[in-house]
Amino acid sequence: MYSKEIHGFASPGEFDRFIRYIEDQASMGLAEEVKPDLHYHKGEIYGGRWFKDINTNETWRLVEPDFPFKGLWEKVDSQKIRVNSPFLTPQITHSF
Amino acid sequence: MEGMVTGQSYNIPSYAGALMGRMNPFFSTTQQLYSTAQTYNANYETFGESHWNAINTTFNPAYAMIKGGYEATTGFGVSPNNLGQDLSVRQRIGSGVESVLGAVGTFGIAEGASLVNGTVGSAFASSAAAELTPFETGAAWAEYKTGSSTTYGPMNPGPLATDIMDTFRSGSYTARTLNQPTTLYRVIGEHGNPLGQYWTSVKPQGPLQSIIDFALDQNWGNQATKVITAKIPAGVRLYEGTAAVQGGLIGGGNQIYIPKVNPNWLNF
Repeated sequence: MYSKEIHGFASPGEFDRFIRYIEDQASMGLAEEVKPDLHYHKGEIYGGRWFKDINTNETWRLVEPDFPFKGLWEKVDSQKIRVNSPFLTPQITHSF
Repeated sequence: MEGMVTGQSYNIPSYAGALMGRMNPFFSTTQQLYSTAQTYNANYETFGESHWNAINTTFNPAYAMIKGGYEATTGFGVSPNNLGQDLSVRQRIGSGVESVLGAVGTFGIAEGASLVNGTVGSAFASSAAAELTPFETGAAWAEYKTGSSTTYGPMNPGPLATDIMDTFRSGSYTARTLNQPTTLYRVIGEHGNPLGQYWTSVKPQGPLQSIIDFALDQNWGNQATKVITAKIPAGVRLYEGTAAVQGGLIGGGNQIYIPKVNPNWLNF
């Protein structure tokens, strides 16, 4: 899987080509698309599709351009992920 | 974290809605209350000394559960008399404790709760519309309370990634937190995304003017033929500056970056 950060694609076409590339990587078993943490917002940028590199076990995200923001491909900072909280399943502690 | 109180939300739409309709001045009529209503269910847990505030009358905690002596504080609001005002859990439970703030019901948008001190340790929401937006820093809370703002730039880097910072002229922008609802505008093409991050406080004066003011490089396809209007609630932190030069277009228009746009802001 491509492991250099991309800060700004040159055009919408280049972004589309990158999507096709990473989807091909997934179909070949070299990458796996994983569920993103919806709260993750490094640099105040939310969203994106998350892909795990099968070889390195690193997770990367691909954020769609919203011009003038030109899109992003970067490694996910595992320190900022919240989805693995033990509290995702609420437990009843009181009642009304 | 062992022994932490966790929360279970309850759907109690009719009673909660009626109660909020009477008590919350933001909802002037019950009809309006229900027309904007949605079911949501959200919780935030905090670690350490915590202080929750209901800073926006579109959000009020339906209950709070507190670890310690007030293990099962229930009801609609920690105190219904505090709706629309600062709501301090700390006053009830002292400091140095963990808490859970939860909300449930059909009364508006779960936005505007803030956390002062303490740390948001985890969050869970059972529906997409249930997301609370706690202030993650004391700076945002101070901005809200005082109307102050903070200016960032290349020599004083702020919270925005370089990818975003560079879309402002000279990489300079101001962070501020709305203390009242504010109308903003966004221009898009025919099939553009109305929920994107770039907005402006100046009502657009037509596609050509927008393309110039916001330096909308046409290689990226935004023909600015549609104007989206949104009412952004108090409590939202946004980043404002001047649109940078792009693709030979001079920019210079008012440009506002909102990290996460709630679809409900468009429905007013």
